[in-house]
Amino acid sequence: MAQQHTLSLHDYYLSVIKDNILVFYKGAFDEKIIAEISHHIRKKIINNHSVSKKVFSVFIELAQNIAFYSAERNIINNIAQGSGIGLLVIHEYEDFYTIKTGNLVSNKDSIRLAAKCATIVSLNRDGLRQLKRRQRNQPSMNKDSGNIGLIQIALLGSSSLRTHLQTVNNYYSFFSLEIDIHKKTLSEEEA
Amino acid sequence: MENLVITGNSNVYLVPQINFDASSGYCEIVGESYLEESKEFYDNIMNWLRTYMQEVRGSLKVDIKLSYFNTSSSRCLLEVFRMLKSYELEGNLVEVNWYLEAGEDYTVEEVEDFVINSGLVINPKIMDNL
Repeated sequence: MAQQHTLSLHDYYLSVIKDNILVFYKGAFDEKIIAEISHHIRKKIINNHSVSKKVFSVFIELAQNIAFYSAERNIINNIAQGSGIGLLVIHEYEDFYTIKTGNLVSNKDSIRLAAKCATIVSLNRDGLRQLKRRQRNQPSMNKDSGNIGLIQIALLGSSSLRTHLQTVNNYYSFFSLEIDIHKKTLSEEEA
Repeated sequence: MENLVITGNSNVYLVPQINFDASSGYCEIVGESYLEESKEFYDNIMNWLRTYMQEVRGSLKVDIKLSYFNTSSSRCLLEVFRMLKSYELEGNLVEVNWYLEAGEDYTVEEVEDFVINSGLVINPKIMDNL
């Protein structure tokens, strides 16, 4: 017999407020969801056009990564189909935004992904730009993917890319990624 | 040869406005580029340019007024620039201008990277609002 729970989301609701969450979404990253969230980002971040554009750009790349590469899909008629499923959280703090995503990846892909992230984190801006130019010259695995999304995210961010892979079972790992974007651009801070 | 006109929209995806004029060789890409099928969209542009280069063989002036493009579009844009560079190397006049919003250093870097990747001269033009 199923255990009875008293349903109250109040504590959860309070924690969402306390964590300064601007956007929280868990589910399939299909084109309509991506469009809705991107409209929401543009409506919510209106004070600085350049910063709004950076948050928007990072969101699109991360959302497409989940849509194309998440190992989790909806099962319809016993077949995994549709866009990839994942988690997105955007926090707004006094001086910066933090954008976080998480999704399942196969353990086979996680090795390649970990190596790619380690390379990106080790490079300075010039190194990242060189890597992006090199990667853009290579054929893409997916015709609608630039295959340079993670590098682009690192270039747009105000912090280093922070990533973590956690083994879930023999088949899958959970890939977490986060990056900060300052509310003031570098030229504004220097002024 | 017919002009190429694609009406831009921002319903679900972000489709840039395309105005390519076969009689003057003036080509304009305006708006934002995040597409359902980037390759197919930019293949249309490259097919038009290929026909222009073979049939008209005139000069080309390309103004890019993209305030946003995702990495998938950037890969396709690079192919367009490479095609323009090949046409220039054949002795044809090609001018490419990229209109940028003021203060967007990362877009300046994007343009520099396109220049390094393609060998094509792309003139950055700073403007207040796109």
